[in-house]
Parts: sequence; C-alpha cells; structure tokens
Amino acid sequence: MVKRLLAGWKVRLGVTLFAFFCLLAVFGPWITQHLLHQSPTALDLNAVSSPPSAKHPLGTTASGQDVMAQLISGARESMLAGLVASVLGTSIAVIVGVTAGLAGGVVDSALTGLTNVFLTMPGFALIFVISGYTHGGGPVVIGIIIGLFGWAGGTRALRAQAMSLRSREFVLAMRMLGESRWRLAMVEVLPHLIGWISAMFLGGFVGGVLAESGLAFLGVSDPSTVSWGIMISDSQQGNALISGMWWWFAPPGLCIALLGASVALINFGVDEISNPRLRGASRALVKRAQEARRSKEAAHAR
Amino acid sequence: MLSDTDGGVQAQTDAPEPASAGEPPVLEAVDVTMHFTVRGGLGRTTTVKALEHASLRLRRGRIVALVGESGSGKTTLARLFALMYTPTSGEIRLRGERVLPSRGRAAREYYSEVQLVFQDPFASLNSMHSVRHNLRRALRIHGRAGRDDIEERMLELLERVSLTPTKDFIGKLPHELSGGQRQRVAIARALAVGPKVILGDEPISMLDVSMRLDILNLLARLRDEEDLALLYITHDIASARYLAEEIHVMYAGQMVEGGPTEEIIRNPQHPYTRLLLGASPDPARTVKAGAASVFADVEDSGEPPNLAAPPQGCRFHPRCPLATDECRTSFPARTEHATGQWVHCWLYPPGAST
Amino acid sequence: MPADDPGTLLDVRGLTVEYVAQQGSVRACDDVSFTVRRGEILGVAGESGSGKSTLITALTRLERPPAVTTAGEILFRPGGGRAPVDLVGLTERELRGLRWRDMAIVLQSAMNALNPVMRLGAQFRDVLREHDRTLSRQDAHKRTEDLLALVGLTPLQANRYPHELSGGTRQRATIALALACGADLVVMDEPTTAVDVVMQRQILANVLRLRDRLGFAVVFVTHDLSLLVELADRIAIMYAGRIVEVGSAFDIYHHPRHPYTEGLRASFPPLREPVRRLSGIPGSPPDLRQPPPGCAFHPRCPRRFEACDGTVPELRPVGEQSVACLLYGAGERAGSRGPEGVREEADDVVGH
Repeated sequence: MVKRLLAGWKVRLGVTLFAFFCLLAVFGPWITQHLLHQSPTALDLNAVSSPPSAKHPLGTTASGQDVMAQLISGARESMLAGLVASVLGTSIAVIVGVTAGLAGGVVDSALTGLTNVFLTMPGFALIFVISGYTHGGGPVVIGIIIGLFGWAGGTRALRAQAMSLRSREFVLAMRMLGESRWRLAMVEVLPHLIGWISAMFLGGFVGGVLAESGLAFLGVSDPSTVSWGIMISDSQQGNALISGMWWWFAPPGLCIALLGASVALINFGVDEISNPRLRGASRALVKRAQEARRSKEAAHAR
Repeated sequence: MLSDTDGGVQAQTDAPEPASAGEPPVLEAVDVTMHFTVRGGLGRTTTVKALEHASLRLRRGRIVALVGESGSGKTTLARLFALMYTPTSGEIRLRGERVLPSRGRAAREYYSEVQLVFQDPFASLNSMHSVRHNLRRALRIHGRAGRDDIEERMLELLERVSLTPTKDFIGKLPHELSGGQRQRVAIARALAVGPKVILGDEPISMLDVSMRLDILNLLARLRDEEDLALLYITHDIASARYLAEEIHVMYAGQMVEGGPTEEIIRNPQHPYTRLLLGASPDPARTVKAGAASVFADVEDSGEPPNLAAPPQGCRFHPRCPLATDECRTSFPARTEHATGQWVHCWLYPPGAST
Repeated sequence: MPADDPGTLLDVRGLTVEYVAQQGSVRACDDVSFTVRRGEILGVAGESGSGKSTLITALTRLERPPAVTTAGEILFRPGGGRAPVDLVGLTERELRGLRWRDMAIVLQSAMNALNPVMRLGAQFRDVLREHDRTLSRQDAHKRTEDLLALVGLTPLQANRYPHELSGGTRQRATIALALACGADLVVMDEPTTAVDVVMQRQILANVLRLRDRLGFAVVFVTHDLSLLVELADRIAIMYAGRIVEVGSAFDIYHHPRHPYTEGLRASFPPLREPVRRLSGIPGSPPDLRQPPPGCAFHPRCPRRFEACDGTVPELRPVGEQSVACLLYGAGERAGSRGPEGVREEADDVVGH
C-alpha cells in the first residue's frame, strides 16, 4: 500500500517537502551553528536591515540578526508546537470520537455533548487568553493549549466513521463470536480508521503551526525563542513591509505555506488511492490505448 | 430433501415428520412478534410491524428453510434468533429456556451454541485480517484450543469446509479469495466455536451461480457430520427444496404455510405459496409449454404491503383473488394436515384435519 | 453477410474491450461476435468476470476510462431504411442522435437513475420533448400516459416523486422510459436482479408483451440462466470475456455443448423434477489479469484434455449452435490431440 502511495508524483513531492522540514527541525540549530556559523540571536551591527548577501544569504533583520539562521532554528520551534498540538489533539479526538461512535447510548450522548461544547467555544480567543497567562511558555506549552482546544473538529468525523463501522457485518460477526468490546474497538475497528487518523494528524500538525504563528503575531510568545511566527511578528513591528524588507517576512511565510502544501499533497495522494477515479495517470494510459487502436485501424484499412 | 450420506444420484422421498415426535427443539421461536419504532422527522414515530406471531422450531440434524421475499420478516426472525433484538412479545428459547440479548459471559455462552452466517461474503470478513485471525479468535474466545494445538485446529477447520490445500488458505486476506471461498471461511469461523445451531441468512444469494451448489452441499454435509440444526433463509424456493427437509413460507411478517418440503412443493395450499412457485424460474416447465403462456397470468399481481401500515387480517388479502370478508378482518387460524403440513388460510377449515 | 440482411439489427464483430492499467491491460471482452435480429430477445448469461457488464457498456458506447474499446465493430442497422453504422467509430454527437431513439438501455439499478427531485411524469415529458422538439405539451402529456399504461402504471403514479414509489414500480417506469422514443434495440443489464421473484415475473411478462406489440429487440444480460431459458429466443454464454456458446434457448437447455454451459445449467436446482445431488462447477472464475493459457475454462473443466491449455478455441458452428471448445473442432496446432484421440480425465480440481 505504501508503495502505491508513493507512486504518484503528488505524494512524492509532499513527502519530500515534509521530510525536508522535519530534518530542518531536528538538525536546525546544529546546522546554523556548525555549517553556517551563524546564530539566530547574534547581532551583526555592521549589517542591519541589509538585503541578502554572501554573508547573510537571506539578509538581516532590523536588529542585525541573520534571517536564515532564524529561519532554520525557528523551524524547530514552530514544528514542535505543531507536533505537540496534533499529537494531543488527535489522541483526544480518537479517544472521544471512537468511544462515542462505538458505545452509543448514554456514553455517546455525553461525549457528543462534550464535543459540541468544545466546538462552539471560541477556541482561538481562549487560547489567546490562556497563553497570555502563561506568557507564551515555549512551543510545548503553546502546543498543549492548541491541542486542548482544537480536538473537537475532527471528533465528529471519527464518531461518524466509528458508528458506520459498528454496524458493518464483520463487526457484527465478531461480536457474535463473543469478542470483547475492547478488542472490537482496537483490533477490528481502529485499523479501518488509520487513514482518517493520519490525515487528521497531518492536518492538525499544520494547524498547530499556523495557530502558533498566529499567536506569535498577536504577541503571545516567549521572547527568548525564535519561531516563524515570531519572525513574522517582529517583521511587522519592525515595519518590514513598508521598508521593503521582504527577506524578513517572506521566507517564514513561505515556509509555513510550503509545509501546508506538503501536507495537502500527501492527502491528495491518499485520496487518489481510495478513489481510483481520481487517478490522473490512467487518463494518460487511456489516451495511449486509443492512439494504439487508431493506428491499428489505419493499418487495417490499408 | 438432500441427504449426503446416500451420495450419488438418488431421488429422495420425504417421510412426513410429525411436529410432536422426535427430540425436543434445540432452538425455537415461540409466538414472536417484533415491532420496530422508527423516528421520523419532526418527532413523528412510525411503528414497522416486521413480524407477527412467528413460531419456528429447529432440531439437531435437520435443515429448516424459511422462504420469503424482502419484507417478509425472515431476516428479522434470523436476527431475533441471533439475539440482536428483544422481541416485542413472545420468546426465543434455547433448549426450552428463554434467552434474551445480553452482554459478557451470558452472551458468549449463547454464541458458543448458536452462530450466524451472513449474506454478503464480502462484508462479513474484516478486509484487514487474514483467515488465520478469524479462526484463531473464534477458537481462543471459546477456549477450543490451547497455544500448542491451535494451528492444527485451524487447519482442521479449513479441511472440514474443503478449503484445501489448507496451508495455502490460512494466511490469505479476504480480497485474495473468491466469494465462495470467503463464505467457506465464514462457515469455518462459525464451526470453530462448536455450535449446535447455524443460522444462514441467504448464504448463497450473493455468490456466483456455479459456486452456490457447493456451499449447499457443504451445509448438508455439516448437518450429517456434526448433527447441526440449520436454519436456511432464502428467497429462492428451488434452493430451499434442494437443501431442506422442512419449508416455512413467510409473507409480510406473517408465517403463512409450512411443512415437509415435498408436500409444500407438490401441494402448495396458500395462494401466496402458489404465486411464489409460479413465479420462480423453472425451465423444465417452460420448454414444454411455450414461453408466453408461462408469463401470461402473473402480470399484475401487486406488491408486498408497507409494513408501517399493513392490511388488516391476512396481509395477503389485497392481492389474493380468493379473498373473503373474513380474510380482510382477522388473521386465519392454523389448519393442520396429517402429512405435517400446516397453513394459515381461511380457505381451509381450522384445526387438525383427518 | 449478416449486416446486409435487413432482418439483422445488430452485428457485433470481434469486439474487444480492455481495462488499461499501469500493471498491464485486462481484456474484459475478448473478440466477442454475435448478431441480433429484429424483434429477437438475445440473452447473455455469465458470472462475475465473464465480461457481460462490460459488453453492455461497450455496446451502448458508454464505456469510460479506464475501459477502452480496442478492436472490433458494432454494426447497427436502425429502422427506416437508414444505412448501417459502426457504433465504434461514431462521435459523441452522432451517438446522441441514436441514443434513446434507436437504442435504449435499462441498467440494474435503473430504479435509482430516476431524478429524485422531478415527478415521474415530468421526467417522461422531459425525455420526449428532448428527442422530439416538435412535440407539444399536450401531446407529450398524452404520450406519457400511454407509456405508463404500457407497463401498468396509472396517471396517479405519474404525479409522484420516485422515492414515493416502490422499487418494482420504479423499475417498470424506467423500462417505459427506455421505450419512450420507440427504440429498435433495448439493452438490459440485470434489470430484475434487485427486485423480488414475483415482481421479476411481472416485469418480464410485461417486456414480452411489449416486444410482441412494438417489435423491439432485446439484449438481456444476467447471471440467471434459468430465467433466460424461459425468456430469451437465443442465448449466448460468456466466460472470461469470451463467448463460449450460442444457441436457441431450447438447444442450450436440452443439449448444451460447452462443458461450462453444462455445468452452469446443472447449477440450478430443479423445482418440479425429482431432487438429486448436483454439484456446481469446482473452482472459481479466473483472474483476468492473469488468465489461464489456452482455453480460460480448462482448469475447471471436467472434460479437458491435453490441447486445452495451449490453444484458445474459436467459436464454430456445431449443428444449430456455435461452440468455442476443442471438443468440437480440430485445434490450431498441427498434430494436437482432438476429441477423437485419447481423452484424459481431468485431475481432481481442489480448492474452491
């Protein structure tokens, strides 16, 4: 299945991009320190607000900090926030959604009620307020808060899927074998939800990154760290747009966009597998077959 | 009625089986009624009267066929036997004792004796798990094998349903098997728990034609070898005739006729049974008579009723050319014949006939 | 030539339809040839993987990628003295001119093909006026009532939405809809599989009566051979994408020649004859991605012999029937053992 997944160009591109960012996040600080010999926080007073050059490939900020170094080490902060948010959010969504869908009755009503409460809560505002109390607190704390308030969106979909699986005949058959409810959920039903869950995880990841950058833009961040969101926020405060310092805000924005695009591409690929009609490759093959036929007919006519 | 022990080509004559003689039924439905409440939009509820006063007895070593079209209530009865619902009234009895849907150990005990084989072989096996997983779970849950001999027991089961070479099949996933093979796996899984009763809900209707008879032959063989009580549900009366000793006919939730197979086929009493027999494809009849005449009579014989608002009395009366006022008001009493055949129809005097 | 004979409505020659995939093409229909005469009911019987559904979509030129017609002709002789056309070469526009007027299709779940937001009568009027722009509203209305009456439906039902009608009623309505423009050929793909036995009988009795009255031909595809014996004039048996036998319903029932036809016929338990032990056909239909060499049926055939896994049998006339089986004709390879030679018993076929 993984082989088929990687066959299409969309998935390959998406996975490559995503892997690139992951590597950046993991090795970021090491790269900036040892390969580029730069520091995200060091001030180079000789080159303040300077455009890209040999020494600073992506230019410097208004305070003389190297943008490239910031970008690379910022990857870790942003993506860590995204990771924590999506791990927490997806886990809660799976536990609540699948339990509600499979259990039915009172349990379902209670969990659905809980989900609805969290859905209607003004999530972002609450995150903003709570993060204000914690004064940012670093990417992990931000990630936890985002995850705690963002899990409700995917839960309804998981619940619906679990409910439909519950009445499928193979589940009924295993129930009639006397299979325990725990094993029914984990061994019979959950494997069918892997696709949904992984899509939710990836989406939650990007959502977390975006939420973090949004929060940073609004000023909720840890001043000692650097993340993409913080870079954009700083650039806004440093009037980068007006001064034409595109190298300050464009790279972090582009990185966030590319990360989102990579996840979308991976999801397209998964969609194509599950719905063969979306496969573009077959259209090319059909054209080839029709051409072959036409040439065969032409040869026959002669 | 087909007996596998005779082998070869032999016409079977059916000895009438009086309902009272022989062993007690291992599983029975006693006057079971099932009404489903369906919630419509805007809080309106409708009651679907799916089953009315149905009684059925299943005995070891016998195959009973339940024949009817969609909406006849046959699947509802199967699911009641499988304890998926609680009957609105009436009882399901296992060896004379009433049983109700339950959880945990009580459910497991029931399911170690009664198993259901589903209609759709593509849906009844989890597409993500191999044959081995299905059989292993069945054996382990009911303690039918220990760690050392479980592999052997699984291969034995595959042998019993003729999925050979067994070592090839045990590791396969459902999509690697044909419909007939999957259905055999489902039967093997049901056998794994060592049941006394197997309920087959249209087990062959979704299979390719050339594979159907093999499954029917397998079921007949299991009846003989394992002394199973089998309930065979179908809409195809010809396959019911081939497999079962007893046929019960259902219409719109009511049981209308029943008895030994050959009696029902040769001498159908209820007008609906006659309609069903007349409508079933039978090339032997046509090729002699000529195509048009076969079709001529049934062009407008109506449709089954809506079970949310079924007709009063005998539910077949709107379509019955012989309906009387009594048919329209009350459900006919039971008429019994010495042959063991019974029917619910006002055309016949109620009670036992000499 | 069949195409020149005015009695021939449809002449299919060498039709081949492939499903194109990256791993290699699958031949769903392989060199299929048959004819349909005017007013005749041709039954096509086959199981899963036989290619019968693909044949239907190819006949009506409704196939969509990845299905591609790679070879063959479909010569159609519409009424009114028009010249025969090869459907395979026509453009979409030309096909639209033929569809519904000359050729109509009824599919298995046709009852679900009705527009759920239009009343039944309105859908009829829509079709009628689409194909005959000169038709006035009143005429379309009258004609709708006539059509519905043909299949036993009342004007009252014409006023309903599809979901308010039963499955059987909707199926009858779609048949009437197919006949709305007076087609000469109606192609039906398992039209009664989703309905009950009694309703099936009603629908087919109706189709027969309409055929007698209106004179259209029918290509009826189904897996139920016993039904075809009662309904069809001629029957074609398909296996693994090829036609293996063609003959009159009587001949197919009384003396089937191809071992597959024999097996298929024996797969239907009798209703009135004495019961005896029957045993379908061992094995399962082949995977068309890797078809067996030679005759596709040979792994399951109780009468196979040496040459069967090397030569693909051609459809040849045997008496009144046509059969594609080496038992009835010399193989293509020189020196191959025909049926007159030693016939080996087939090995036990195990593993269903």
